Amino acid sequence: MPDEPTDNSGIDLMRRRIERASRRPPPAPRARRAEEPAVAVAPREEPTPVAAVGEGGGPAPTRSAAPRRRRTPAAPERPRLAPDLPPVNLAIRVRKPLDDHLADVIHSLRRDGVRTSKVELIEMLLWEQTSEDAEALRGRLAAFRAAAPRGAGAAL
Amino acid sequence: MPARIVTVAAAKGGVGKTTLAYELAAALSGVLVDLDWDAGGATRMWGFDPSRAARAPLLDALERGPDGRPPRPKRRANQPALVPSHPDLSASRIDADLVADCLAAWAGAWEDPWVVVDTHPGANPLTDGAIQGADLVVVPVVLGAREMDALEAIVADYDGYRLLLVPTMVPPVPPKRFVERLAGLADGRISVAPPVSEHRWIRRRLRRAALVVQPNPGARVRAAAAELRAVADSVEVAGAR
Repeated sequence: MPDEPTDNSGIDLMRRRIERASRRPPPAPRARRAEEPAVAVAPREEPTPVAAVGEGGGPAPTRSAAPRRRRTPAAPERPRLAPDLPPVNLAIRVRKPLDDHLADVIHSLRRDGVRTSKVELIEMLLWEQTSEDAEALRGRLAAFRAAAPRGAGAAL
Repeated sequence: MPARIVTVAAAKGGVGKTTLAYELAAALSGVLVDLDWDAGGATRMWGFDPSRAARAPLLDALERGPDGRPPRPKRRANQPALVPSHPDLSASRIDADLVADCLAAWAGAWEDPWVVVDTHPGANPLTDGAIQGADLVVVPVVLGAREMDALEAIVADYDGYRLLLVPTMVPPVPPKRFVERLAGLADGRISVAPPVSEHRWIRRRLRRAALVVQPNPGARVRAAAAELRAVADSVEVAGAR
């Protein structure tokens, strides 16, 4: 085998793909509570780093004195929907009164000149349910199970 | 200056060998010599049906030997220049040394800078001769257990040859254990080209134009062509030393 430097760009590229796939997304930013005022934090000076051997020493640059921006609460995460996305058949069976209720909602909307469908209403309800409402969802689920027991279910 | 000879070889079929050879020949502006006698090879991909041709230029040229007149490659826009294969190659008793000598002679006679040889999978005299005469042996590698076993055998058999491994049909997230196994096999001694992704639509493609030179390419052709050109760049680097 010729003793020459080899090109391993392919291995490196594939390793980077694996690394990117294994990265966890950072957690969603926490919404700031309403009673906390946004305080501009005074910049603090960084300690001067000790110069390593062989490096030229010099004063460390200090942080800029500009005040920190107030963080606006993040918008709730909702799935992005487009017309050309492939559909999935949920194939669920619901109790009849719920289906009747959905039909009533559709008919009342139609009387007001709004045409919609069961699919659209259910998609809307799913879309409105964001990941930030997990606590509220548990509460609602408990209330629903109490009002409309279905059978054996996991304790909340 | 004689053309550089690149032989594309694989132990198993279905690893993207012929597509790789076709695209490399187009990207490098070289001549594609098709030594694969199977019907679904580069010759049919090019649009040439040897059963309807009056002559078999490759067989005739091999019979004439390295001192005879080389075959004249067929040329067409947006496709690599081609010396077509022939089904009778499978039954021919052509010596591996003869194949190597002929390829070297033709590389000197043609004006094209590269000769890319597509071979029949597995060990046979034509493939052995093409590898023997190559400046660079390109081996497509599918990241699977059996394919990696076959690759280990190839690397062991062709120790002393200049090899370039090309990961093909690579999924978006390659299986880590096979990537590391490939890295261990290459071990800093064998070059590994940038990967070519799993473009399943290529199998269904009917157009004859090579992806790397297709005019007015759509998004997926552009994506595939970019990967194949990166492999061609690796071939130029590895084959030029």
